[in-house]
Amino acid sequence: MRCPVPAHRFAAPALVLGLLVVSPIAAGAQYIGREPERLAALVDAIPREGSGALERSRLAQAVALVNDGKAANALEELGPPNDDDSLGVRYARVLLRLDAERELRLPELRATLAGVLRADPYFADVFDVWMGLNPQNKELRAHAAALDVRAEPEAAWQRAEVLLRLGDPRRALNALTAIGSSDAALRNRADRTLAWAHFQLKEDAAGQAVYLRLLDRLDETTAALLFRDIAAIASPPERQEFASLGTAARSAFLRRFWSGRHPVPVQEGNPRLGEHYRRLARALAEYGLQSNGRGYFTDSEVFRSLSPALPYFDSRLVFEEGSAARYWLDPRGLLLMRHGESEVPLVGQSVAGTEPSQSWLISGYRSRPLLYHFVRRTTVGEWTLVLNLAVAATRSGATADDPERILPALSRSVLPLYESRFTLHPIYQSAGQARSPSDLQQLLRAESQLIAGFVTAALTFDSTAYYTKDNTLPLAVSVANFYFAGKPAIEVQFEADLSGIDARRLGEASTLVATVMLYDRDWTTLVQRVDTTFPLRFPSSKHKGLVGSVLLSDLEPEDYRLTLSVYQPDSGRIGLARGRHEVTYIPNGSLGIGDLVLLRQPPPNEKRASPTTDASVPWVPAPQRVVSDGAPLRVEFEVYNLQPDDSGHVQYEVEEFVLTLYEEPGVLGKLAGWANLAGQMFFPLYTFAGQVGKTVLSQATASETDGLTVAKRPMEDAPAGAIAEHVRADLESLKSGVYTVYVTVRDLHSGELASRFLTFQID
Amino acid sequence: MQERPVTDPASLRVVATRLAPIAALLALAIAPVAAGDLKSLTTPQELVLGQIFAEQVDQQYPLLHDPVLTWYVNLRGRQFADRSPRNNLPYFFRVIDSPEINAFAIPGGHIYLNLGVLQVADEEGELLGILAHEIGHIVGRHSAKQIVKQQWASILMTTARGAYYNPYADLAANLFGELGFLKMTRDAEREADQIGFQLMIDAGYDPVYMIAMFEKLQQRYKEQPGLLEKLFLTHPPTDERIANLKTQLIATRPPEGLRVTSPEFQETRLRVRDRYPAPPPKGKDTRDKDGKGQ
Repeated sequence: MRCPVPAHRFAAPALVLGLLVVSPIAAGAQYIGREPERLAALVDAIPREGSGALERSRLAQAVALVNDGKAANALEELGPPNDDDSLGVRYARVLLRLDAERELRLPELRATLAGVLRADPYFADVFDVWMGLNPQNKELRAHAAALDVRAEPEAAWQRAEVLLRLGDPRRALNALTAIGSSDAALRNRADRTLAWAHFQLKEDAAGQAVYLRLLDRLDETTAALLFRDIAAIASPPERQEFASLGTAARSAFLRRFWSGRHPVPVQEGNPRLGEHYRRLARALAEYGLQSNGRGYFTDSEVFRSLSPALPYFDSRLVFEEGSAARYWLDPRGLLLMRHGESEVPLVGQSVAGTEPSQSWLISGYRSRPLLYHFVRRTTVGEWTLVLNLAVAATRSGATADDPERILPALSRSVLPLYESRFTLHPIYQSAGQARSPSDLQQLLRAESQLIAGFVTAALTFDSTAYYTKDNTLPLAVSVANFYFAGKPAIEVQFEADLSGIDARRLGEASTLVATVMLYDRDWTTLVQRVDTTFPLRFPSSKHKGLVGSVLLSDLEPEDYRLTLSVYQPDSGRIGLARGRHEVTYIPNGSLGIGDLVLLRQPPPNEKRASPTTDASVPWVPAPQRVVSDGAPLRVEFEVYNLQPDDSGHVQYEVEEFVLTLYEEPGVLGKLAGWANLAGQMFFPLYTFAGQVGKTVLSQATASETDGLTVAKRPMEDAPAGAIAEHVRADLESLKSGVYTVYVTVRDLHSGELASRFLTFQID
Repeated sequence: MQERPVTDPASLRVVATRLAPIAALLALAIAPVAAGDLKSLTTPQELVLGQIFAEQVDQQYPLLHDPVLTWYVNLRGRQFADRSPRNNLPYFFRVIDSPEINAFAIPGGHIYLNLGVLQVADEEGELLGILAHEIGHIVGRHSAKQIVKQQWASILMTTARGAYYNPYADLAANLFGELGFLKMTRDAEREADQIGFQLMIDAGYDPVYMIAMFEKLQQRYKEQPGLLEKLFLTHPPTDERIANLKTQLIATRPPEGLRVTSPEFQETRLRVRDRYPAPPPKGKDTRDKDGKGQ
């Protein structure tokens, strides 16, 4: 009989069907074929040196034997499992053994699996994954199910511990309820886990009952475990006491420990106990150290040496017993354990070249809320606590936070916090005095913008290139060197833009507070801190820049780092700047001049000794140094160590000239530029035609000469045996442009020279 | 495709048509030059450019902000500069935080000295020899002349391209590109040596140490070429230069009793040794030919 359908019509479906059937088999075969390779890779991961070396060689031999089809020999080579094996060795051994057993179908399989699962609960999860991956392991899965090793007491407890750490307290609880071991030590360990699981499930009463039951029959191992749980919140005396106690007394100690931390002692249930274990679970899960704590959080000195990037960290701020504790949590974890969760975690975004930051506001049941700033340590990836915003900003990234997020349920309870921390940051003080939630929210907004401003601005600047730091109170800053009482001094001069502040509303009593903190070049040591308060004055209705200066004296000639914060308490506005400044070196006997200081109008007190001693002088600070066209302008400086002649007089020559860096071209210049299609081509050439106005002001022994005013400094201010004079020269009225004024002083007796220059712009 | 012969009148017309605007631009470009704008830089022009370049150098090089070292190099530098034929410029000396032995001058009296020079100098005369040489470049207006040359080239190039011309951008790019005008001609080096040599004598320092420094640098180059690579690229202390200086020494006959060192130098040297010790010499330099470390 002929088939009505030609045979070739079957060919294609048959081929497809065949492929469908064969391909999984082929894939499985390939998978099985790859198993020895995977095992070989596991073996490879075992260290060649040390205790693993022998195991490694045995396993490698076993892999080779399996590959050669000699699985029985491989098993012989492997020997029985050893609980002292490292995790990698153990896994490799077990997987290899399973491979061998699968081929040989040996009855040892059951015992092997049971042994491994019992010894290492973590392996159960690996095993599950492995079983699921390999379709050929159905038989093994059946074996594993038949083993039911997880019902054995020891394995059940270990399984519960794993589940607890995996964040599944309910399953952990289920695993533990089946334990009925007669082993007292195991029962105690299981009870600790059981209590923890109850606390995780917020079944505090049940958890506490288990915990107290545990204390009644405490053994040494469990006591150590229980103390490890509270190590992060125990005080140093408590640590010492615990270490000196016997097991029975430790039970009493733990009861006392918790009763002392009972927030409402008259009540029976201790909410702190359950809360503690919940915090512990969360801290372990989210704030565990990646570095195992080696070297990072021992004490501040060690931290500084290992982490120069964040020099101000001091773990004692969080955890005063510092080096005594075993740090398995980062500072956020320690804080969480101690003070609870932050109600207002502000997480800053990472921006280019910076690390993200976090700020935590913690109030909880404490009377005084706490505020902490953290940054993630560069390259390490771990978070650390920083002392203040300025330090946080040096290595952190942040964006302005939505004020609605800062205090969703605004509470007056944060006010004491700010009152207590104003020394760190003026904004806190203002917040502490805030009269309404909206004021407070406004201040917090300013603070978050402040952090953002720190981070988004460039981090490198020097005394000639300061920059404004935030958008709440723009600042222009410059630093001038001079000598005072024979020692170098600096004056941090600033101009704060108050254009957004309503002076009429604030009244005459309003002030501006400027704080300068001077650090060494590594930002590790605070050399000097000066706080100065200025009356809030506007020079004119047109010009809203308030100018002030802060004096820091008695300095060594070094390369310093400094921060300036300017704060207007009534409006809550704050401006910050950071930078470096080199305090100049003028040794005794060597001619020197202080930095040039530009003044845009005559100071109110013409007879004052030095512009640097009068904060009311309207400076023109860097980097703007912008002067309105037509305004009077003068440059002032001081000359040091002039050598007197036999009659005690000094003679020196001041050479001062102004160089035009850029000048607006005239009509002809512009026409020429347009005409030859190279307006931009020749436009810059006009800047080449820089004007030089040179004035030689010689023989400046008199107090007044043409264009030059000399005021002798009181001798007690001058370096010993030297003469210092204060000189000021009026600059001619200059057109709009950018100028540099050069000043060279020549001592006509010693022949020495000293020069300084200053660049400024006239609008 | 057959090419049209260049003598073809049609071709010539095309060429002339295309060249006309370029020629016009060129003429317009040359006009101000001819008027004196670019023949040479005046002192104010040099000062302006110097300040612009100095800002760039300050940004691109890691300056060493050590008050004592800054004070010392300015003290001696100004003493020397004051005795030079161009003492009408304000001179500013800065130290770059680099162990490489190098120094350079840019227009307008700005001189940069690498920390490596301070580290290698055993006597003050050796250090001042380098300083005097750099002042010699300022006095000889060498970098200013380089600028004018580059400006011409730049103007011609940009005119031919019909592009806008920004001399600052071009010059700034050339300042550091392949060492730009920091690399002087052999004549400029010779002249700077001569001026520096004379400045040493005028300032009361023994010029023999200038020669000694050059010889020392030659020897060091053999031992640690990496540290002197840029120096040898920009102004190599060749045998010829050393020979020229020795000839000048014989011809000049410096007076007796010239200074070799000073308390200020000793103070500075101690500070350098304390705070910025020289890197230990390596037995074998590991840099490749491009100067990159391995």
